[in-house]
Amino acid sequence: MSALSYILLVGFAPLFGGLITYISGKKNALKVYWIGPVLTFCASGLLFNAVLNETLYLKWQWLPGMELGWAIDAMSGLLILLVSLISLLVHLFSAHYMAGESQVHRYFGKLGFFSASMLGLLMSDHLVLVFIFWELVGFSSYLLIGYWFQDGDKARAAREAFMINRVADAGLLIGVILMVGVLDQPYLSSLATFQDTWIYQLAGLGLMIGAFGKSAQFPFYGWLPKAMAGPTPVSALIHAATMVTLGVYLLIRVQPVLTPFMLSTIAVVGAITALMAAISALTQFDIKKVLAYSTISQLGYMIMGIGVGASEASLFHLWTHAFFKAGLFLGAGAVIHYLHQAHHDDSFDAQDMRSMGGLKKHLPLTAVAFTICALALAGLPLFSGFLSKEGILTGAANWSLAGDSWRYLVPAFGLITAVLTPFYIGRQVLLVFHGKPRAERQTIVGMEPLIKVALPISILAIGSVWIFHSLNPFDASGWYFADLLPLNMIGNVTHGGAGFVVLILSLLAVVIGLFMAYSRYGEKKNTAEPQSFREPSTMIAKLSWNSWYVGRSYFMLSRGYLQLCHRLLWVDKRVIDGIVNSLGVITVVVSKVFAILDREVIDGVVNFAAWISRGVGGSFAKIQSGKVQNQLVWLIIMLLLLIIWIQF
Amino acid sequence: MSTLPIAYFLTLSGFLLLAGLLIVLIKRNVIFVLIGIELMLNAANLNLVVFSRYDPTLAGQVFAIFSVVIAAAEAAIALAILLNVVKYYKSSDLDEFNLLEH
Repeated sequence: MSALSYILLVGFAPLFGGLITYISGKKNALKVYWIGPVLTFCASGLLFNAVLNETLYLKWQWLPGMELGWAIDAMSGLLILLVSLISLLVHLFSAHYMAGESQVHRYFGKLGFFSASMLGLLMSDHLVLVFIFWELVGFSSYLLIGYWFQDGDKARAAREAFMINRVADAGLLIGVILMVGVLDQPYLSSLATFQDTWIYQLAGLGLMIGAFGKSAQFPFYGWLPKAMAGPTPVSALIHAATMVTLGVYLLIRVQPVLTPFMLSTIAVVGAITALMAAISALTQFDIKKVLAYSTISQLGYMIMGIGVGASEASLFHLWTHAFFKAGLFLGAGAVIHYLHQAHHDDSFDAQDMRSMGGLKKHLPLTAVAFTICALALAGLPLFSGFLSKEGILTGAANWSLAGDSWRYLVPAFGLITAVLTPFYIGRQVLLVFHGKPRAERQTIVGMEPLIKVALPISILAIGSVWIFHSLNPFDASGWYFADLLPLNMIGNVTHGGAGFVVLILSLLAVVIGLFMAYSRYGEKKNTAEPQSFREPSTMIAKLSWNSWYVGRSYFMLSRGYLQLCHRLLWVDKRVIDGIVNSLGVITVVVSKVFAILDREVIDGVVNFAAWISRGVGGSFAKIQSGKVQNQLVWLIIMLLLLIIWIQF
Repeated sequence: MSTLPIAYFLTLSGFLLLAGLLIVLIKRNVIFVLIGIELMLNAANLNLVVFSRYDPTLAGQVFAIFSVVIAAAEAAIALAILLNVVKYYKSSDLDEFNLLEH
């Protein structure tokens, strides 16, 4: 098959699936929803097989003098396979989670649209195409967050998430324009190495800001907790496994044009985000918010990995994270769905961990899968998360050994995050599944149907075990797909150096974190009444609860901006309009003066000339009066004058 | 034979010419205008006759006789034309003949 047919197949399969689900209406949607993702998954498998050995290219003339192009190398193929696999599992789970919804066909239509945009982005080679699909995934994310748009809060959350992304996308647009228009490096697959000029710094900065927006890095990460307003399977697909990792993907791709200064910035921002988000996750009670902050934190790890030159480890973490985080979200979705069914009280908050507890009796399989994924996230050895996190931390440590002393901050932040991660995820597992129920609830059986819930969650949980990623459970560089990465990437720096020390330290971190979680939220201590879980009161805890006030600072910023707009409006009205109006008045006055001048002087001269002509003509016309006698009189006068003239 | 000074005749002739001219210019009736023209003609004839006193060949007087004859013919023709004109305009008033007026 040619490159074109692969691209058409992979790009249109999810779109087609979404479309037929949408067309088939709410009654039949649950019968045909699986066609699109299954087709997509098969197509992605074919595509991956095709790009294992050679990269597929397709370029065509879009406008005269403007070429666009697709390129699919092994890395894209791998990610396409990952996206379509997660998408398939999420579709299956959605059929369970959204079964009671009246607009379920609209939901699957949007999901298909998202998958098509996402796969299109992974296949794009030209930066303009990347930008187009980047905006499309942002838009479909907005559509899906706002799926319950009848609820004002959720529609508002969708708008906020969308707007914050727009701000960051302005940076991406600047980067793309500079890359395509000024630096003439439009193709991701053939980027030349950067030169040390300010224009490269600026382009790198723009691309970096765009990536930070999509990947929810500081200071843009406030949108991701907002995005949790969407249905939980959507959070699993878009806001955990696929779309939010696009920033990581983009930075890995554009790494050749990033200057060392930009890379250091990326490393620092990633480390700061990882730590800030991990701290924010410590005190949350909303089951999805904890996962959202942990996603931000893990994305911070990936970004940090790129900054320190361990892109391979970042991509590996992206890969493993997609499995365990999607598994965690689907598990959370199963919990939320179960609680929705078990409580008919409308005021009951099915996402509040304070009213959960003891759910392992009701959802045994979910509890096991969730725990496995949580251990992978915590970074316990023998699970996938340990491998990739280990790679990133080793890369960061080696990077800091090779440079100035301030660089130690980056691996230090990474290690602190590695302590906090097992703590908050252990807290979540204990609060949700263990102990005794903290709220009265009915017992419902059959809430884990085989195909729709058990299968996706089990696959994701099994995919979080080390053996599916690397033979040696302690060696990140043993990743099966490590050889597939593009050649222009900076070499694997996770080997050697501080590897052993970091290994010991991160093992220690996991153990400390898990132990802290157990000692604080263990079986004996979490049977307390829901009332005892108050909102935090100390300053640091408040900082964590409000997530460093990042949402409030957006609010302040936008309010300041609004006030600035009002001021400018006033200036506009008073000053600019005043100037324009007085200019208008002056023009009118001058025109009137000129009109008078025109009428009196210019017209006067013309009229005077006409008047003279008329007078002269009139007086001479009297000679030719037509009266015979008058003419005779003149004749005689002229005769006499002639005679006199001749005589004298 | 006592001879009257020639100035008397010339004065009379001048008077006749001026009278005829004034009639031609002032009078409105075409008949009077024609009469004025005849007066001026006769003033000229008088001059011819008077000046022929100094001409032994009397050519002036002969010319005057010719002139009178032609004047008679001319008067006849003029009257005929006038008749037609008066018939056309249904008026003998010279001011009514406004074909030349614009």
